Amino acid sequence: MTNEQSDKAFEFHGSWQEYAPIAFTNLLLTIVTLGIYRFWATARTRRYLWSRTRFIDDRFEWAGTGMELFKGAVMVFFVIGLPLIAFNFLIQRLVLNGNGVIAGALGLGFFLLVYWLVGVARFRALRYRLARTYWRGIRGGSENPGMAYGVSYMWKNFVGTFALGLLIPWSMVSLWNERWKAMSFGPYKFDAEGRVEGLMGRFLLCYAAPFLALIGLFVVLLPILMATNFGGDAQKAGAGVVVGLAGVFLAYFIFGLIVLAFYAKFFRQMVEATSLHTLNFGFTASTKDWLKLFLGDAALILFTLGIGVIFLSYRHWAFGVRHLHAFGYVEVDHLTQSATPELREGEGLLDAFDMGAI
Amino acid sequence: MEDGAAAELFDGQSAIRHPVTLHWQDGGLAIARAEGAMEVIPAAVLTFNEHRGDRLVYGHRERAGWRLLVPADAAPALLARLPQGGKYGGWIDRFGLVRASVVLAVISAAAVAAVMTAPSWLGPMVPESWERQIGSALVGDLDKFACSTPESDAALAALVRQVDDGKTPVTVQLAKIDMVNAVALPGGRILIFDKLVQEAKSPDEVAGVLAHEVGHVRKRHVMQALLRQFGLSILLSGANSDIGGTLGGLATMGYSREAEREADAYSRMQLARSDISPAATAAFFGRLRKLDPTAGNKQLSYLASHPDTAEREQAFKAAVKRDEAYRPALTPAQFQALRQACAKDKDAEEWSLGWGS
Repeated sequence: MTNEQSDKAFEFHGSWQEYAPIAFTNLLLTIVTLGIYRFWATARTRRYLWSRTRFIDDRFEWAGTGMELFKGAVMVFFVIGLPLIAFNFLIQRLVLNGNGVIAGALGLGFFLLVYWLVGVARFRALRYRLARTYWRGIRGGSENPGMAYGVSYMWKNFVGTFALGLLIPWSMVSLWNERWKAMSFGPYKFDAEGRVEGLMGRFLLCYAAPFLALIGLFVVLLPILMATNFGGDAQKAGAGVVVGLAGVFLAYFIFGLIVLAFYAKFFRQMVEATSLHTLNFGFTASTKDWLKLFLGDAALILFTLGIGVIFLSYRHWAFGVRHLHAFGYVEVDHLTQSATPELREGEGLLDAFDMGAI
Repeated sequence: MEDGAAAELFDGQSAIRHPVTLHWQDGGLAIARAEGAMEVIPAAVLTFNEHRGDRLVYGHRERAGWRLLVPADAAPALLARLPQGGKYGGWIDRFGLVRASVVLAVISAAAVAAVMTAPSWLGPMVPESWERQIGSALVGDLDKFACSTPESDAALAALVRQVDDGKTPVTVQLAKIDMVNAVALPGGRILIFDKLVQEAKSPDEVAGVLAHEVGHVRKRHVMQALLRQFGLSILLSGANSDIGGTLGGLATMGYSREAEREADAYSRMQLARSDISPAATAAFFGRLRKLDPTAGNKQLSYLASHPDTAEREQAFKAAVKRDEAYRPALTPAQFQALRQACAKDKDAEEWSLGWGS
């Protein structure tokens, strides 16, 4: 074990060749089971990724099982899915009977309920992942079931839209802090003191994106336009199409790039503001690193005609570990077992809203 | 050989690493700590957790976090008696990957086939009384929108007689709804919207549309559509984790194109049986093509507009026989009674979404 140590606290030891048999058999079994195997596939992937990730002098272990995830999803289907289907029929019946106001009110209530559930789901997914992650036989978790976080998620995101969305960074920072402060590993609680300062510059750039796109378009396409002035009508029409397409593409690309720049900064700042007892964390991925990751993803998918999708979770995990740092020390004799509830029902809720990351 | 197989132990209480030596003895695996403490763990409580490259990791069924890390190159005699690891999960490991994949693929294909075909054979098997109950639960009370005068009821009954050959009764009502449409609802209920009657150029046209809706009822399409949507949503919940999307699919419940064609064929057959010309219905489709009667009411799945209006227009046109002695579906007096029903029936409520007037 000691021979695995390096300067960096986190290190990824996996290789895609080693992961490939897992990825391909997962794909095969997921197809032949009409998707039901994906819960077991997720568990296998995580077990591999966790077990190839070293923290200080020992590897992580993913203790969650496919059956847990499956049970979580089945539970969500019965507790949330079926009532939602019934609710949908009720709304139709109300509309059919001319009770549009009641249907509208119920629809609004339904929307709020789902929004709340999404918040609860995000919280519980993190809680579940910590509770099923072991390091030296010690796991994490949370005492908090996340219901109150769902309420915060609802109102903070709502307030975030005030003033043309200028409060969005505040809501993101505040929700990150609230979520992580409720989490723990072993006997220690995480702390998160993220701040909005330093994020507003990049966030305000998002508002300038359309103008930047226009300027960019002008600079790139002016020569083309001038050149086509000498051509015939058909040529002019063709150039118009090219200019239009390039404009749309450029607008999306520039806007995406600015959002990415904001997110990269946000993520670095938040991880740096998060700590666990004697440990502080850091994250070093720049906008360029994120861009390279996503362009790499796109290229991988493109050149493998889509099959490359099965390697995305591997790539993203490796990316995360590569850029994640920890500073400080761990007193292993004080790092005792977590007293938080053991979780055995998976993150069905998060899965149900299609937000599972890895 | 067995004595002194070095390993590492985390006891699940703290993160301290304990160097241990292992050997098998009566009663289980003897784990001796460097400081002298010794414990014998029965083989039955040990679990295989994972293969971590150079080490094998074992757990304890009753102690969360208890981990025994054994070098992968330890003595085979020691490893052989430890629990062995699965790779893909219980059943698949037992059958082997290839065999399990083939079996699962066959089962999945059968499940897809069952879900795809079940509505068409299962739908007609659902007793009509059940469908009526499901229908009243799903649809609720629509009587308050029904326009009824003694004359219009008689006219409607005359119309139904000509286009329905079923044994069990269908409930046909004229509804005060300001849309050019008619719907077949679960439970053998048909609503003809007043606007359709008002805009109809002849009673034959109303007969054609009514016969189409009766076709949906008689061919059990309503139940089939319900079953199809329900089956699909169950099936998709395996492959597709997006509940929102599944619900969306459910909300847009409608009849399949085959069902529409079948109902049209039924309509033409009934019109022919009663010597009513399909020409008026063809003309109706021609007009329908030019306006979208359900615009702005997309959330009403039962009212979803039918596809391929041009094709349907052609089919009805082609059904007109040149030398046939057609007679009108209703007498002028009957048709007039039908057209005036909603104006005369003061109890009928105008259907609306419920806000404004």
